[in-house]
Amino acid sequence: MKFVQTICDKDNLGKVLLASLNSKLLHVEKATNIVNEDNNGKLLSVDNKFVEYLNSLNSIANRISLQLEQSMDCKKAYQDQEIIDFIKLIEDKLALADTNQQLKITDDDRIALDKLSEVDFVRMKKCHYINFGLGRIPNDSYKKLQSLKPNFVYVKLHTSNQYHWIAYATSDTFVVETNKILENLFLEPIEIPNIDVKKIAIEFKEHMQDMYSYCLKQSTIYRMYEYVALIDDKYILSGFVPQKDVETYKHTYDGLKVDFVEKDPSESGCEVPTLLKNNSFFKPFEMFVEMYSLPKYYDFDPTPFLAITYCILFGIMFGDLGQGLVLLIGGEILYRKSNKSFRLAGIVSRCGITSVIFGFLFGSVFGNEEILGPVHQSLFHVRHKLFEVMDSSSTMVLLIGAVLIGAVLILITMILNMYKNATHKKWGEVFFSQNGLAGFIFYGFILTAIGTTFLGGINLLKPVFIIIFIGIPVLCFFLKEPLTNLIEHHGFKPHATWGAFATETIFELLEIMLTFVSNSMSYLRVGGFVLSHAGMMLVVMTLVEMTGNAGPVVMVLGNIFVMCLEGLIVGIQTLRLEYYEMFSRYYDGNGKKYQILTSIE
Amino acid sequence: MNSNVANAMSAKAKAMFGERLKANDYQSLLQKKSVSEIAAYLKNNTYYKATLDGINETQIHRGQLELLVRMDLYNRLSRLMRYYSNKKTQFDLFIIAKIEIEQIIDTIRSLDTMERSALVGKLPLFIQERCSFDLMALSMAHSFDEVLEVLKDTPFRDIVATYKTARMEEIDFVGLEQALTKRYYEIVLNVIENEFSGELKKDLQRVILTRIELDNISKIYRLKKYFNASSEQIHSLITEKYVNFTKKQMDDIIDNIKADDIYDRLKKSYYGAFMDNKDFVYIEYHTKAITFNIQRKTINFSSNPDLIMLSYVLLSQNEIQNIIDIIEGVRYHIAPDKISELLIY
Repeated sequence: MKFVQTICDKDNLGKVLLASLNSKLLHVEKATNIVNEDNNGKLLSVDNKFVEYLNSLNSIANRISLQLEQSMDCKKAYQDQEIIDFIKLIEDKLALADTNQQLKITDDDRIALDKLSEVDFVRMKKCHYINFGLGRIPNDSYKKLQSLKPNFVYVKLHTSNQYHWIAYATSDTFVVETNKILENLFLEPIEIPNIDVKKIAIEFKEHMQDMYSYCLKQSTIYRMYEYVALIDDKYILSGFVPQKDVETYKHTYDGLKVDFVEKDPSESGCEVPTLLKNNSFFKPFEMFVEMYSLPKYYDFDPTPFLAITYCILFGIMFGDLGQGLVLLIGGEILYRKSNKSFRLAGIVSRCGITSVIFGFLFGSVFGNEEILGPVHQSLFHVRHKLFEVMDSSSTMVLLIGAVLIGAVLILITMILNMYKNATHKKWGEVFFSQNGLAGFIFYGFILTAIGTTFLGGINLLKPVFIIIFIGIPVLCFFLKEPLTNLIEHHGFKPHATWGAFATETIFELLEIMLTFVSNSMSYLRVGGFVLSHAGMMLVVMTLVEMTGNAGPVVMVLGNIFVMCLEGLIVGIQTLRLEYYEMFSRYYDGNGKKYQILTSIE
Repeated sequence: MNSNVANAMSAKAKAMFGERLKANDYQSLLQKKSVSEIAAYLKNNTYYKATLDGINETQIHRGQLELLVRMDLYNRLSRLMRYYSNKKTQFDLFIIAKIEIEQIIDTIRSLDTMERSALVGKLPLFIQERCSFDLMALSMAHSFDEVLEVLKDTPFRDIVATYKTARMEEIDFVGLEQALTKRYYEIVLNVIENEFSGELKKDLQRVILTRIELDNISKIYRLKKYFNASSEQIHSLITEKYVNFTKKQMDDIIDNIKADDIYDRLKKSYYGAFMDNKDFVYIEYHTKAITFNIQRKTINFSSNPDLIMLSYVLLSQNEIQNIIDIIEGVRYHIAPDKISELLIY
């Protein structure tokens, strides 16, 4: 990321601001972040009169049902007076129309008016000896009107479940009689407007669009003033551009008289935005990181670690070769069809890969646990299958394996946490916290001790080891705050009195121990969902056998059901493990998103 | 009618009666300031919404709203009719024949004017398919002969023909109306006589005869009060049917009782039990209130579908009259408490 300041004079300011929008590369910073007492800068006053013009033009467009395009391409520049006069001209014409439309016009009335407008309202109004009228007459009355055979002409314009809309014409001689007949037939009159708003729309459409585009352009420029700092008579637009795009960014100003100042982000004085950069495999997982919180610019990006662990955990829990393939292919098709904007589909397709791998290892294809038996026998030289998920002897293996995977992940997240804090030189966190070196030694020793006791029969829980690998780390947890103060040269003391500190820390210590246990147990769900998935597919397969000829249909529906339900649950549970068990140990987030400026809202 | 159909019909009629306008609806309607507001309330808050759907309540004409409200009752009855066999029922006669008579009288009254639209506008064309003559043709008639031509296949033709005069202004409209009404009741009673039997026949006859008797009371009151008519004239203008008054009692009312004392006589009679505690409003108010209270009892306690249906019709007609009273009251800016006095619910 580079901090780029684009500098121009007053004459070029408008063009420069529009060019910056068109570049689609600039994460712009507000001028208030740039201007300070040292640089003696000023902010531009934002008195945007074009907003009012735009509102008026939009309101007129709505009244005459004209759809204005949100384009800034205009043929000419307009003076303020020219815009004001134009708005007044049309508003006067519409006011003339409105006085005749005091009564609320319904949608059906509008249809009738539209049809009548083919005749031209103005010409109708100009007739001296013929009187025109318009109104809605109850359907029953329309039938009666037909039977009455009145001495005026009428035409049906529109109908609804209650009314016929009719226009009628009569001579001066019969106007009283006509009105009386129609009143007796309960005609509800609608006044014919003096002006046809449709015609206004057609007549002024082009001019209005051009003026609207001009106002939109000017308004956009005005609204961008909040990003412009005025320092020493120079107008400065500041923001961040990805380093590789700096030259492209500069080229967007070709032909304009501008200067650029490039700075390292650390010299900008602003919070640097984060733009995640990952390869195409990890890219979709950025969604999960964004949902949690982006990393700060100088922090490491957790996306690759999240992607790998997410895929592995999902694959274990959703191990089915056939269903994994469906996820892989279906997800990839959706991801590509959406032009990589539907990132969840991308995640699903990547999870499909691990699902296929673990499905193969578990020997499961669309719930069929037998089909891969021969392959396993020839490849792995086993009697039946590499791993029989539903076998009772496998249950403990699965659950212990799940906790072991969790323990390894917890240890890795501690290493990541130490690395992160080391880069920030937070040595207290690196050495003494439960997620730092002390925690790593404590948790790692306990795991090793359990492992050696059960596997090799070696008991590591000897007093010396206990003092070194459990006692000292626990003491570090307890004294983390004064120790941190000590290495940061603030003396060996807590923030409060020793008494208060001790009380507080004893409870914290208890919480730390509990967290270690609960975090480890939390991974039991990985094994649980392997069993649950296999169990649900067993139900489907049993139903397939029970339903005879309808078996294939049940097979397809059952697989779809399990994929949707199980896929959703496993996806959510894995995300939970990522956020609560892993992110909570090594990741803070709080970064600012790199957002390019493309339009002013 | 088999018992399943009978039960279904009773249940349906009672359920429909349950949806009627209640006291709070009337209170809300009385607060309205214009026909538009009444239309909007009926359209949005009551079971009239089905019929009023799609109307422009901001501009609806009073006459059109009244027509639609009447049409709603007809539509409701048509739905109930589906439970009946296809043969013409007493209810066709009861409702349709009454409207037919009104149309005949209205048409003859306006024969001397060329302007038809006022008459045509109010025509209830929605009942045309059940009418015994062409309503539109009747209202377009310009002479007595044309009226007779339209009525040629109906039971009313001969009665109307007897009132034909050389000049329009000589027509005896009161006599014509009385003759047609008499004929109407004869037709209804005839159908009840021929198509029903036993207790049900008696009950149905009782409903009709009560209506005739109460009509007679109203007529006697008005003839005495406003026309100072003689006993002979009154005798000739009433329908001589009796149910809760004996002939002797009725003759006594005609011959000896003053108009203002008829209300007291009514209170002391069988009908007194069905009158509310209001002081004298106007005679039709009290005769309608009696009908309302009798029918309210019938619809609540009877299990006979024919009786329930008849009660439902009469109660619905009362509701429509209430709505029309409110519309007219609001239209002519009558105070809500004054309009409220006219309502029966």
